[in-house]
Amino acid sequence: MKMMPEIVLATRRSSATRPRLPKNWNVRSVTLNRLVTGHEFTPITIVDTLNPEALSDDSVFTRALAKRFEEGPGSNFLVLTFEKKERIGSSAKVKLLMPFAHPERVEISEDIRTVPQLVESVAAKIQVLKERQANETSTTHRSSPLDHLKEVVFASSDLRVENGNLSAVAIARVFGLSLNALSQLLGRTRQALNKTPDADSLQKDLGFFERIARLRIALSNEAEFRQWLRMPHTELNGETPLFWIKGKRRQAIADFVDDMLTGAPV
Amino acid sequence: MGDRHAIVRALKSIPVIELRGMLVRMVPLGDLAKNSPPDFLFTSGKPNRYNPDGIECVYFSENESTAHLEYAQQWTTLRAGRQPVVTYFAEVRLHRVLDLACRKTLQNLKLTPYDLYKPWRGAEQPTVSQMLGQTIAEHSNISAIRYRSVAAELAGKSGFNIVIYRNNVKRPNSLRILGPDRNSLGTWP
Repeated sequence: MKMMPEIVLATRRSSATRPRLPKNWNVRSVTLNRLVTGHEFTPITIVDTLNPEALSDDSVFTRALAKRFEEGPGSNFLVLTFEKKERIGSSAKVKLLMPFAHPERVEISEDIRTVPQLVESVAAKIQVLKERQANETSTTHRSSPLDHLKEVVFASSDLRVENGNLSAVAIARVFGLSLNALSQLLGRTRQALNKTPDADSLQKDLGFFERIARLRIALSNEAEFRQWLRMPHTELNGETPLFWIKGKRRQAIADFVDDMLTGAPV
Repeated sequence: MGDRHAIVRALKSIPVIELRGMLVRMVPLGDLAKNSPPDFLFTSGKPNRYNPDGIECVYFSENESTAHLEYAQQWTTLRAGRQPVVTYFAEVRLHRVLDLACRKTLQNLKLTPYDLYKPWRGAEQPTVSQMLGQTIAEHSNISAIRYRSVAAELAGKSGFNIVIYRNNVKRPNSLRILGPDRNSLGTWP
């Protein structure tokens, strides 16, 4: 488990019992009122109220709580806990979760003493969600303002074969790389690339190269594109676009090309 | 400026400015701009100096000379950098803009100019300037940030850019990309 994310513990001013959380966790205590009037939500927010009925019946507070929760960080979780230990029936749980647009991110604790374990489980979920999100963004290139322009699509048509797939052979040629060098960048064998250079399994990775090759639409010729790939740039900390591509920072270079073609200040 | 909460607290009492006028972007002529200009209000959420991945916003320069310096910095050393350039204008009316060119604003946010110039492209963790932008986009009613153009600084000049956060542009604020006739090429909100 990586470091515990930041936690906010919101309690009543006059609360008799509070969840006991390990001292080495990054916990900030606020009042319930402060929680719904300020911008206090963190990846994990614990709301400690008297009992489920008191929370459900206070519709003004629960509406405000649900609203603030939605405004918080995208993958945040809410833990509802109660000072009085009691079994909470399923209908009472439904009533508690009803105001929330994302009930899957709300946990209900029936025993204040087990809140730390529940929070640990939530932290694990957050970690998995974050890692999954990071993997998704690293393997699929994000959309671009140029995706639907026919000139752009046409400009990269030489990178595609008849069935519309991108071809590793064409990309290697345009980037001035040997097929062997491209296969290393893609983490494949040269034999595999030789055998099926337009394989479906390569398309996600080749998509980054297609985005980068769009720069050719504004360049005088392909030699200038290959020159650009190998020239240091201040925007890239004095390194070359090709160095970044080799360092698996392909999305950043695809974004750089977007910025050049759309004139975005940086 | 350590964390998001500190930024949120500082933003509550931060002075803001109003911005009315034209903002500018320059793109290479070529077939792209001649036939079908890019959608300047398209937001893919890709990171830039004042937004991490996932925050919807657009960037412009405050005037043509700054836009040209921004353009030139990206196309420097390329022969294509000497090709004709098309200039696009955005008409804006923004009532709450954070002005990072104001020293007092930086002091309130406990920021130094060094924080704002840190390299952001390819950074593994969001930079301070990106965290500031994210907090403004998600937790404030400030619709834009005005900041010093690094390209202008590198050229020994003074110039400013503006980043505008889509979800914070609500009426009476507005952003309109001017077209060749009376029709806009795009508007927010």
